[in-house]
Amino acid sequence: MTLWIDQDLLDVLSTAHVTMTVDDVAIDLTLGDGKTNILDGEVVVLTADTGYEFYTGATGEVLTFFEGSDWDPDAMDYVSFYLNFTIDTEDVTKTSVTFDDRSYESLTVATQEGAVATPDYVITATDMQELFGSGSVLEINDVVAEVGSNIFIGDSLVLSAGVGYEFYLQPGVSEQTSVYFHYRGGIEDMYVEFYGIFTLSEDKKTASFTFADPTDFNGDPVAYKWQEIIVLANQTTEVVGSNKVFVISEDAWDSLNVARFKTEGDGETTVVYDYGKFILNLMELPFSIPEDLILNSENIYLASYDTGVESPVLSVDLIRVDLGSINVPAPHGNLLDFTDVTCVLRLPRVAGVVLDADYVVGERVDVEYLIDCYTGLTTINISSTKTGSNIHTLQADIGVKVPYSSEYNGGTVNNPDISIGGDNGIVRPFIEILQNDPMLPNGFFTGPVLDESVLEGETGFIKVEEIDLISDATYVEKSKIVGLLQGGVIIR
Amino acid sequence: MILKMYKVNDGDNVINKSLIDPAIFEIVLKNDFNIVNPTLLISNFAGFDVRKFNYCTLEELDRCYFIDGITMMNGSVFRLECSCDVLESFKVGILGSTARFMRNIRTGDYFNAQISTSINKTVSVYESDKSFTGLPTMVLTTIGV
Repeated sequence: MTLWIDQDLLDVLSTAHVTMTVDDVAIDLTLGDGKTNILDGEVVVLTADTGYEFYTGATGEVLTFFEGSDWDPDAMDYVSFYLNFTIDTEDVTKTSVTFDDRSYESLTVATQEGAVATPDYVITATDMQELFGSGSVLEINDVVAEVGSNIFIGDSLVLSAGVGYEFYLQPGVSEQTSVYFHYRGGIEDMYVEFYGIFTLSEDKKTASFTFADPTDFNGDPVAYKWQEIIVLANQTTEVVGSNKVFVISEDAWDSLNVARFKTEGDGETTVVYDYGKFILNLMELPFSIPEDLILNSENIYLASYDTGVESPVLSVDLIRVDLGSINVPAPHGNLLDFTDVTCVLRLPRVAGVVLDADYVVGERVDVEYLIDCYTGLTTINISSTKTGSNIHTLQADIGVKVPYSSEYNGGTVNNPDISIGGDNGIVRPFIEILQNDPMLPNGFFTGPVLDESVLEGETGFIKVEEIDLISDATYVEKSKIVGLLQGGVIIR
Repeated sequence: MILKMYKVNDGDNVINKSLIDPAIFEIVLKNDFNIVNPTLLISNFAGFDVRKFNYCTLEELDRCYFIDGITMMNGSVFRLECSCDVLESFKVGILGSTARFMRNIRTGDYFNAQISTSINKTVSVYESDKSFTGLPTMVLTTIGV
């Protein structure tokens, strides 16, 4: 017999915090793909929501069942009959029954709040702090972790390094990476540390780990649980060699200028070493460096000497500054846009650059500065949509060199290009279009354009130089026509 | 022959003239009629003022004429001195002919044309959408671990 699912049955399920499937298909009254009835022979499964479970009575009586009733002529009354669900012996959040051919009228479901599974690890605030240091993000089964997030055996953990960071292999430790769960435990009377080591991706930007029970050296499980997550990451830079580039404040520079002198003595003699010779350059750039290029602070080392002065590290030694795009319209859409036009690109800290109008008028011009942090030498690339590539490259020294030693550059601070270009007051590139104003460019009788075609369709004033006149006019009339056309006629 | 008289305000060197206020006459041509510079005699009548017309056509001759002069012969007859408007008369052939000519500038013309220019310059400025921003920054480069 068919049992049609109605709102009353849904209310019973909702109240009991359970969901129902019939032959593995969810029930659905919204005209979707779900089941709307239960047929003879179909398997009905109820699943309790998280935190709930099915239970039986104190003496094992079934509390979840379908109920129907038949008229008993002997008793002269209706007699109930039941179809009992069976609770899964391994998972008390599931119970099931195979529907039969009797006619049932109602469903009773008995659930109670169940014991919540104990996670195998819970993310702590200390763990999050560990992640924060390198801007790393941990995902547990594709969900971003936060303080209090639970980890269970078998969960998939993926850690992504922050911008400017990468994980690394621990030198000298076989198979050890810089990301691992670390816990301490004991095997019999031994005190042992265990590691759940993440596997690094090829680019070392991500580390992954399937959470598992800790095991001892024999691979046997041990009773101790994870204690902490360790995340070590290096700041990645594109700086060449063993050089370092810092963004340094005036205060830090003052401190470094003191710390660079290291005094050593044996009690009788004192020697002062100036580690300033390991300073390659100090210069001032006329703008704020983009935040995404600035990494965390590190101690400034001069050779192997730790000055103890901290400054933020730059991730590059060649700073790429996009100075934007300049769109120059071609208002006339004809030769007037190019007649007697001079295009001058004005740039910060360098002299103006004259560009061919072809690259500028009706085009977009892009400007990019590439600043060498060692010298301040700047390569300025100018490109145009006319060709889609560089149309001009020039070099300038836009960094103002700061003296830090009397030996610097032979005793004088040399800013040769600054003296030429210097601070020209320009911070935003712009293009000047200088044009001698055309006289009567659209004058009715100006007619500066030479054309050759059939005259049909022409309008306005034209002056014919030559014509292949096709007409049945007389000779005199043709001569007159040509004369008039050469003198100029108006075609309306 | 049908003579149509008009008033025309356009210049002599205009093709596709606007012919307005037409008046139609039936005339008879004399034997010594000149097709290029004809002389026509027409009678005046009440309500008609021949002085209002400066243009005429003889469709049977496929020609249009300027009325160059009007002479009153007596109280009711006028003599019209005409000359052929070759531009209007043969405009179909003219406009259908191929020519090399000078014309005005249009959109899309990028010829290297000679245009007189003023000694004064107009300066237009177009700015980039980005600039140096923020305060100056000191950058230190070192050799160190």
